[in-house]
Amino acid sequence: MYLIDFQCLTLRQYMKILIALIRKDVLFEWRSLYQISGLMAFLLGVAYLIYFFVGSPILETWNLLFWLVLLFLSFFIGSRLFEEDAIRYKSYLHQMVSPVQLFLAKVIFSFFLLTVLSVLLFSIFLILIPVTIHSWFNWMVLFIILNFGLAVIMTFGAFLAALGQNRTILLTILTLPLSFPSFGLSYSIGLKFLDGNSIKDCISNFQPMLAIDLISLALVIILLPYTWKN
Amino acid sequence: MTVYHNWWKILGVVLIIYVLFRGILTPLKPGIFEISPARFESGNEIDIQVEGYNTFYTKGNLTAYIKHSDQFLIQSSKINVTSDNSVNVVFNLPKYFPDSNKLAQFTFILSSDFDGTTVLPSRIIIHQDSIDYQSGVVSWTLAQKPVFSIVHKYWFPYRNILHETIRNTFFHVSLWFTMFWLLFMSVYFSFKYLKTNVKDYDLKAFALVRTAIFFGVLGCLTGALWARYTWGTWWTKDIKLNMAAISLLIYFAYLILRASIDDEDRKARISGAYNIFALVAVVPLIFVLPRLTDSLHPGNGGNPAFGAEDMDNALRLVFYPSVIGFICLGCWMASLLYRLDRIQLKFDEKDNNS
Repeated sequence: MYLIDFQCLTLRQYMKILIALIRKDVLFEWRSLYQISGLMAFLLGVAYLIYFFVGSPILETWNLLFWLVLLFLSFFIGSRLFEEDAIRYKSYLHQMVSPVQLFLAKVIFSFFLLTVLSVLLFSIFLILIPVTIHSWFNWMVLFIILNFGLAVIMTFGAFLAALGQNRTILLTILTLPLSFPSFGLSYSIGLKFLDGNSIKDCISNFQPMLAIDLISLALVIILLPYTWKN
Repeated sequence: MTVYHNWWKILGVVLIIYVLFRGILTPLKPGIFEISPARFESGNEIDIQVEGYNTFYTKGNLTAYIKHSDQFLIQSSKINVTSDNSVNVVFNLPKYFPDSNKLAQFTFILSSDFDGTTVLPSRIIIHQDSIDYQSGVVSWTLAQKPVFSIVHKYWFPYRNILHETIRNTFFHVSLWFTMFWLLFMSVYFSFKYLKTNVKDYDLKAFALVRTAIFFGVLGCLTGALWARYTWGTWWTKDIKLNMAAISLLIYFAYLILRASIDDEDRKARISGAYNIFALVAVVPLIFVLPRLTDSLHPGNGGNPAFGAEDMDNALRLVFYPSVIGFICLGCWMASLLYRLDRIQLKFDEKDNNS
């Protein structure tokens, strides 16, 4: 079925293909940098709008606005994940690599993209609407755990949506309810961080988030090959 | 298609009829609806007006007690029955009660040899001016052991706040159970479809999911009705409620996903995978997350689950049949939908061929 028999690949070869796939995605992103920069300009505008209207909001509002903007950001990223592949060389790519490999590459790529963008968004928010965040480290841990789960769910949703019509709306319908628990949990964790709690105080909120991350990753890896056959 | 093969449909209908009749017609256990007043000063003679529910105060011998903790009780001095549902009880409150606080909660107990013993826990509040533990112990210890008469009849437990709505257990809870049963079955068929690629399995899974969504919506409606009477609103910010709503959203997304893919084969495969993913996402939503935070539902946020207290044998005798009955009914509905789809598919194939 595939050009290369993946059962016989060594770990090194596997990683090589994975890295090549990620590189391809990064390259695409780099070549269409105007899209991301346009998005960042838009985010800057939104943050400025919030600053303009609210000035210095209470912590709850700040937290809510931040996660809402991040939600839209992640949906924007998700809706573009399979865009390039669909246009250029879908069937070619599908014969070259195994579905799980392609999926893993997409997850890792979108995870990094999401993390970088959420840190950027966080900085923009902090510059325009300053609040005391107590510790950068806590927030980084939160972003990493959230974005990993989001990357898995978004990639899965984007893959399913790419097969249907009206991709963007379908992606939103599919992934919004699935990503709701992660966002809900990070909202409450964010609120706790703003109140000056440490990671230890929020451990009961982190556990289900981590569980969601791992379960969805495992499940998608199992299910993906079945959706692939054409 | 013999009756022999369809025994479970008959079982379902019989059980549902049984549940409807037995669940609605069985009376509630007698209970104390309200007492007034409920705040007292120690050292006085107090007169408590008791309002009963389903009670027959005129028919039995009554004794009333006020209880502090397990061993400290005082008995009523006079009881004046005005009607079947109302009675006046007079107590002589001692000057002190055995507590290290000036304010304490007390439980009101009314024992009748016709109705059995009825209890209103932690409703009475008594205030004492000064604390004297020893004389409190003396005055709150009864000379002879109190008699709490126990009457065995077939009736449902009486719970304050719940009252008659306790019957909703047979519908609300069973409907959700049925939804999960159907969803698990559909995941089984989705899994089988992904393994074997036989179209029938996909149709079965689809029919089961649709029926499950129907049961989920019904569960939501009965829950809203129940919430209106017990919590005061149709919908609250209770976590379990909202997680259930999100679960329904996930399954609505399943329906939309199916509708948006044209290719039959691809539709079946994609929706099968999504179905499995959805159930795994829904289980933590409804069973895990609500346990971590505060929730009004039993079994969540520190509330007791259905234990011996809430779920007595009289309820169980109707509750389990209702679960089985609704599951049979749900499977029947799903099988009808499945057969409809299969006929549709046959027609489509015929059209395509001709």
